[in-house]
Amino acid sequence: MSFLAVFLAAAISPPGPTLAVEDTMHTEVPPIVVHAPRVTLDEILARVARGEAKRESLLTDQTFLATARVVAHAAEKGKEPSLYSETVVRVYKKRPDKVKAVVLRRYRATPKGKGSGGDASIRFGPGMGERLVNFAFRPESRRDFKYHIVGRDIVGNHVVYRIAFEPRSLLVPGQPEGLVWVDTNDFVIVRQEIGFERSPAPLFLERMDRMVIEREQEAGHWVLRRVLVRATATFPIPKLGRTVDLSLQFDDYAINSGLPDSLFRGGSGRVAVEGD
Amino acid sequence: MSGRRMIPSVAVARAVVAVAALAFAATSAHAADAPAWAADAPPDTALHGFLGTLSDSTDRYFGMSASPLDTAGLEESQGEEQGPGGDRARFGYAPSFAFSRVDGSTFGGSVHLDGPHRLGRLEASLGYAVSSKRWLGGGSYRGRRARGEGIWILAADGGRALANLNRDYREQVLDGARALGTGSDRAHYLRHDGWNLGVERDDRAERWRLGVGFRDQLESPLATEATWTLFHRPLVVGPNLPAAFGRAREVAVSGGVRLPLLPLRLEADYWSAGPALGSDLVYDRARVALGGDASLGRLASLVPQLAWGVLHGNRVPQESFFLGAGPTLVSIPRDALAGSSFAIAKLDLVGAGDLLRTLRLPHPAMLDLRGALFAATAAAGGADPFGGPARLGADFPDRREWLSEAGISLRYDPGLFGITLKASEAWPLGATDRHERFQLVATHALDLLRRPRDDN
Repeated sequence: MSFLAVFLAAAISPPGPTLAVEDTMHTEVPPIVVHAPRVTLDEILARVARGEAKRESLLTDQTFLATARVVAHAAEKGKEPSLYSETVVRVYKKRPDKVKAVVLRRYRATPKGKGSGGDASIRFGPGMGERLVNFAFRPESRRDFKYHIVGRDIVGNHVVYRIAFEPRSLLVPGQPEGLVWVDTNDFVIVRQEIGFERSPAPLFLERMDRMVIEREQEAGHWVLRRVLVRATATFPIPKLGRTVDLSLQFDDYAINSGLPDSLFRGGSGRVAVEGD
Repeated sequence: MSGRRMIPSVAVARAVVAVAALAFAATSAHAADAPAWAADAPPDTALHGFLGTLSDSTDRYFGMSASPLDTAGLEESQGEEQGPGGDRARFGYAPSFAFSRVDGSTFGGSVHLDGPHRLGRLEASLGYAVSSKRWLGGGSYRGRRARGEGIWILAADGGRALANLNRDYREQVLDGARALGTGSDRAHYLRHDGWNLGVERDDRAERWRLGVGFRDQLESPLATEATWTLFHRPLVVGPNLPAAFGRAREVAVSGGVRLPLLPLRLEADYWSAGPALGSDLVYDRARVALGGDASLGRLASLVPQLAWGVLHGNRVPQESFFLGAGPTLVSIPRDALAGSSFAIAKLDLVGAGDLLRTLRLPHPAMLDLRGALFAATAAAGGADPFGGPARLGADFPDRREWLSEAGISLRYDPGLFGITLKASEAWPLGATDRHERFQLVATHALDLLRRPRDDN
């Protein structure tokens, strides 16, 4: 806006020197010196482990819509990304070991025919600990990873730490490394980006381009929002191409709604996903 | 003139643009590196807005994959419930072919049934060994159940099978390929008729494991029956070392633990058979292994490994400890030495980077090789199952029996079944008549220890 004002002023003012008027208010804010020990990385990691455990302990049951999607030719020159398959599932979970999945939609771009591979499957477990999010931050994983603080973001009254992790052992290539965003109000991981310095399966997978895991707050609880993965195959996969996106989205949560045990009779959490 | 200046208008415009650019750059850098402020918005809205900004950039990257779900037509009442009774059982079958110099070609097949609710896999196999004129096969079951922080594994098998005399190491695929192709399979074999049962409790985080087992198997010697090879090469090792005939009724205890503070894992196994169990063979066999890895910056891993084993009682060939190739000494042919005691110490320095990239050699991405240097020393002591005089060191090999080597290796991790393909060239150290030797093995990172659990 100020640029536009100056530009207009310059445009309408006569050529030659112009008198500039200083109209900026000056004020002095006294510095506030806070004397407090900075939380160490070890303490943050311990609090994250406790925060994640507390988060899990507060969940007694969950219902959500899960959408598994496979997108072919996700990032290939000269080819438009195309939805290869989509499976929508209503999932019910209840402590300690109840889970049920109801498939609401199955879509496949090309009909199953000769030469189609076997379908993949997703198994929804009864647990609500979301290991996919906190696998590197569980107490038993502390000795498997190295951590360092990348930065802090102060957002409203939240302090969000960005903590990077990488595998301590280099012996087995293809181990995940990544970056998590930790909301220090609850010490819960709210977002994670995972990378692989080397392909975990170079024979088939040239690289894992990007993997993002996001959480959202539902009724005061942090829960999985989506998991997005882009991978480049070593060789083109029939119908899918070389670059494939795999995504899992979670919507329409109901938490601690008191699901009856009878709901789970005869159900299971395993779902076949059209994905070859 | 303080606070007031006469400046050209074009210069003002340029200055504003420059300051705006600098401010943007500074803000970006600020946001990227340390505290960003968004205090104007209410607390949680601000956090959600912050995460939303990150999500928006993710949306742009992933495009269609990240688009919201279209809920139109999602009728819960028309849902396809998974079940009834949970997962479906899945049936499968596969043909099989195996080759060894004792059985020759073994043609057959297997069928399996994967139970619902993770009830495990039931498998049956049947094959005919052409040269030994025997039917082989049997059934097996393997089930795995997670309970809290633990994983319980139940494994059982029974029937008639070909087994390795070296019970500590077997190359499932390469042994057969070597035998069939060039006759260079140096392993020795025996026949097992009977059954085997094991239960193990494994910690989910692999901190510790404990297992117990029992087997009741008739063990019988086998003679070489197939002397032909695909490429018409003579057999490198003709006769098959005969096993002692007898029924082995054996209890086994197996444990492993990650050591606190140190990046090491300790494993111990104990097998015992005797008259109290109705066993013809009487022995006590123990094996202890220690191994781990420490990273040297981001450049390499240092991998020390130690193992020791001892056999008391009937020092029969099938319970002896074998030395040579595989995870032991490269410069000794496979299973060429054996004894009732053995010990080995190895140190590998494994590069972390892509070797071909480091050497600036063009290569396909799938050929991600790592280079390594290694040194090892090992010995076998006590009774010699090959019939030679007993060596010194019935419980621990005498220092005069130790053989050493150093070498280089190339490692390739294809990302399949946790295996590492390792091509090694080793040179013997010290006064010896051994020669430089090459070997190719399919192994895993800490090869003196048990393969890490692959069914997490």
